[in-house]
Amino acid sequence: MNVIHYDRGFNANEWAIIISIIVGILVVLILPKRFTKKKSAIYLLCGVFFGFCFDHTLSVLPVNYYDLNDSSQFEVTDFLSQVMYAAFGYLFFYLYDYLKLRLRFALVYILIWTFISIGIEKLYSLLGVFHYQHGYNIFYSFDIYLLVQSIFVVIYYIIEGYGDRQF
Amino acid sequence: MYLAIITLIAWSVMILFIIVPKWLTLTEMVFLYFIIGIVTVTLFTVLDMNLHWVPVTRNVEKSLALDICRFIIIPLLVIIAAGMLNAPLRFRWRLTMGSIIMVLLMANDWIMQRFRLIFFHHWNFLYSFLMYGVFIVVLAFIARWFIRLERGGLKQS
Repeated sequence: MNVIHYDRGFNANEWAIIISIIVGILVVLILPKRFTKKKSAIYLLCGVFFGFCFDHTLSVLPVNYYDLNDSSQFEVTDFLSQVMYAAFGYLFFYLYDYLKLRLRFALVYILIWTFISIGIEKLYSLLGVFHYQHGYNIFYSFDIYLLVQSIFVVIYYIIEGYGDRQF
Repeated sequence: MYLAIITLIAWSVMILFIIVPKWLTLTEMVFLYFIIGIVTVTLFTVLDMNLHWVPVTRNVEKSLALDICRFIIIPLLVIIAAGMLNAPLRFRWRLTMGSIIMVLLMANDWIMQRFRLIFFHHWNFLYSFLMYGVFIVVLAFIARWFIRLERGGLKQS
């Protein structure tokens, strides 16, 4: 069984998260506006919501497949590590809209983004943001990214098609 | 059995959600759903893992049932309440509808505790009542802000 060694100090994982959030904010602000404010809010929250969903389902008992950052408890850095998904989610929607991809190319787009996501997750795990346990590894994340990003595409079409309809 | 009953309740809440007018656009509802999901999940985790005030079940079936409560029952009821509080209705009606949703949320809390999905250690139903009350009021204000957000914003071509 793997023994997880946590670094309790303020070091690589905390810096990685802070830098990611700052870079993410700058990227979102610098990119030319493409969506209405409401849609931008939805696309920013999409990544955060699904990050919370999976991190708070897979990283807690009964499964407890991984820990985030410096302990098993929920810390401010854990919260920030999920907030940093906002920019990634926004970029996903932004490029999808910018490239005006047809639906038949959506699967290719999702696959490319999944590989990018896996690369970023690997980097974060090396920096101490993710600590896998109980047999979990990055290959399981591959399936999760495929699923989540497929849901992103469905959300994009629903919001673009019916977003302004009142119920 | 727990899973089946919770799923039945969730389905009933979904029926209620579809039927009841919410006076919100789909974009506004999705936004509120994301906010409620993030806050609910964070509250559950902090109350369980950090404070140990409301520990949650470690059983797989019951955990799945709890996820249904967290991601379907609670968010949909709170969206209905937030929509009602911003609806073009008389204050008395808005308050009545909000109170009915509060009762449903409290009933859901009672069921979660009865089914041992959650355990109240340093917690009670009064705290739950206050928490849901504050949650719904804050969400109603967030909804009001979000509804008015587009003024002066980029118009979709």
